[in-house]
Amino acid sequence: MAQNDSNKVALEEVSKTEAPSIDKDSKKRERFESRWVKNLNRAEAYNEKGYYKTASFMMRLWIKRESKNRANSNLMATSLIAKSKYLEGLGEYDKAEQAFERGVHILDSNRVDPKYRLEALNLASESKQAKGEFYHAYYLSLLAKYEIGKRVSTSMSSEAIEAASYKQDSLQGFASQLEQLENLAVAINKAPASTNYSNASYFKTDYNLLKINQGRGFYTDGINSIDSLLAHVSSTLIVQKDDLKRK
Amino acid sequence: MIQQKADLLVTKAELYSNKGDYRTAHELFSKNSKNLKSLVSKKSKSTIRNNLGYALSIRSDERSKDASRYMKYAYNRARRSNDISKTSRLFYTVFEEQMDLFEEQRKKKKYKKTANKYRRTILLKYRRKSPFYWRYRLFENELLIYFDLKFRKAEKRAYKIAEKLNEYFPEKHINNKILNDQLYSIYIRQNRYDEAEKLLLENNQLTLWNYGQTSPIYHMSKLDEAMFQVTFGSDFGRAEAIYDTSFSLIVRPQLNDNHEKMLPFLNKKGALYEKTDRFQDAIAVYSEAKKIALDRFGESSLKYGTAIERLAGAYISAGRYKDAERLLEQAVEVVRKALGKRSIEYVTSLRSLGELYSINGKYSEARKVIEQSYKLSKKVSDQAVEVPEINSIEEMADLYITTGNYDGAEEILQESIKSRTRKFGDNTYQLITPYQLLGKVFLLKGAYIEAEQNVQKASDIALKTLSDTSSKYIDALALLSEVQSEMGRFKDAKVNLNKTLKGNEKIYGK
Repeated sequence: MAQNDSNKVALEEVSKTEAPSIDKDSKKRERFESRWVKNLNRAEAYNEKGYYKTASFMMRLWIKRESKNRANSNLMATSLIAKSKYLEGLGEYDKAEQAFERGVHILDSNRVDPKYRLEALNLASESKQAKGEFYHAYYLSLLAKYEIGKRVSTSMSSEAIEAASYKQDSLQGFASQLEQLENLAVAINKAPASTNYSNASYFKTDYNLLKINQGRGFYTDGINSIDSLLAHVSSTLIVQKDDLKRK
Repeated sequence: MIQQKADLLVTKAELYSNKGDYRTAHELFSKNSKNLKSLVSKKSKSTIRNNLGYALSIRSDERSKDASRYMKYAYNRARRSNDISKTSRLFYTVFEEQMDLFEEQRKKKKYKKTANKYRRTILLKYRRKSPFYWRYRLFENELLIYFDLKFRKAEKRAYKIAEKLNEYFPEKHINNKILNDQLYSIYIRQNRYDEAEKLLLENNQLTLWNYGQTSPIYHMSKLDEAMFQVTFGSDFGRAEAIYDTSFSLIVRPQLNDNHEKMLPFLNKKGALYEKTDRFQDAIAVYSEAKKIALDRFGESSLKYGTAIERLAGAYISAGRYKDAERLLEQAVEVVRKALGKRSIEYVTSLRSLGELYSINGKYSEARKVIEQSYKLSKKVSDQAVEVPEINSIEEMADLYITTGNYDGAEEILQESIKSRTRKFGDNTYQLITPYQLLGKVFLLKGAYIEAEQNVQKASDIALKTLSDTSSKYIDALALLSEVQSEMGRFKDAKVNLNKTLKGNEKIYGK
């Protein structure tokens, strides 16, 4: 359920940050997106419980709707990637791969548009983890970390990762990009804002990285990083409790 | 955030368990079972994960009875939970881990019962055409391998399952590794080492794709290949290269000394050093393994018994017979108490003791012990998958030669060469000693041509599989020159004797 809760908060935050538009169309779009966010949260909850079929069915409906309006939006990409994650659970690997490829392709072509990008990358990493491809999942999580870096530091967007796209054809090209991203991740971690876990997507990225470390056998590294993650979560919990008391 | 905290607490305990620090893992899991109550419900996913993780860490710590109890506990919670459905991966994992445990405990009935439950659960939601059903069939097939020992039938079934799985799983999917592992255990039991080796290489590629080149999981897979070379193959150079990089630089820093795989890794490393004549290095590695076994399992445990038996073997090779005898007598006693006489470990420790008695000139004791180990080895040879040279033929033949029973020695050596050629092929490390001993027998009988042929074969194989500085090669050359001088071919004998001298200089210095 961790993913479920974190998604819920994360996606709601994204929709809130959008400036309220005056015209009818954008209001309509906003309503559409907030409904989509709720639906994605529900689908994630179903997926967590193991109801993969229901989850993928829910996403299928939204993909159908969105393809009529904006077939190349980040929302569409996120839906496709989420669907691929649920299809992995169902064991429909070919369909999952197709959806994943489509989703990532759209995400790649909208590289400058930050909306839902972090969430989509987190979902993509989870999809690869579900398939057992931890190496690719690691790359995707590092891309997510880079996305966080761009948000918390203005200098990050000018960093030299032009080709920060996801290509899984060759492991060779992969490795050199991965190294660049790893170095960036170290720099990003130094910025305190990057571990602000009241933003659930930030937590999710770090949690994914931890799970990937565990999956790839980096147990010592995992143990070294988990305590700081736990401390951040505990302090966020205390803040949340205090807020509740004040209210 | 509460859920996240619960997940992190369980993950932390899991990480310690994966690392092999079982004591800390147990502490964390038991702490979690109290702390999680205030965070999440009793039947939540985190609680079930915590129960399962606890059971697995207990199992890795060699307490399989307790593990079975906790595993059942996890299963019951998962079954009644509203937090995970019957189609959830976690639920299937609980089944598979239970089956693994029963396989280890050799409990066929329980294995079968769990397999049936697993099948029913899958068929509730998925049809027979789903990949999960065929994954289940793969687990079910293990019944034929590990309990019924029907390898041919298991192989046929595995091929059928593979055909189906290929329809569902992509080529590089990590699930293909389970199939490869199963086929590997079938091939090994059928002595089809070439095919088994191919599967290991395939597994390496799979893990490389899925986990990446720097990942310890990939390097553990490579270590499997190194261990294969040490046990069944003869490419010791490759094995050593893997040990030097994968084990020392990548895997070891990630694992605790108590990790369940650490002892097998160290034992094979020691065997590698022993086979390549570096007895002092072998002694150092075996001593380390002995210390780990003692700290973890205690003085009366089987693991400790086998550890000191291995160390004693290295002492014998290094010529430290007194130390070896003391350890071996202790090892035989510990193993007999822990496992009884019908065990591979007991047979191997008796064999080493016999070898030692023979070296020390105690021929009657040696004969008694070696004959006993020879008889017992026939009874346990089915289980001796990891010890392909379990029978004590070499020691027996050596003893026969020393006591003058040349015909007896010739007979068993011919038999041994035949069976080893069938098993490993005709250019393998395992044939060096039998050919050499056979050459010695013919030399003593005066059949010089046969003697020369056999010793020549031994030296050729030693040169090919080891190196020109290996003791096996040099011993074979020395024997060859002895045969040639008996034949009156002093020139050839001189050439070989010079080579022997140079080889010895290379090893021991001038």
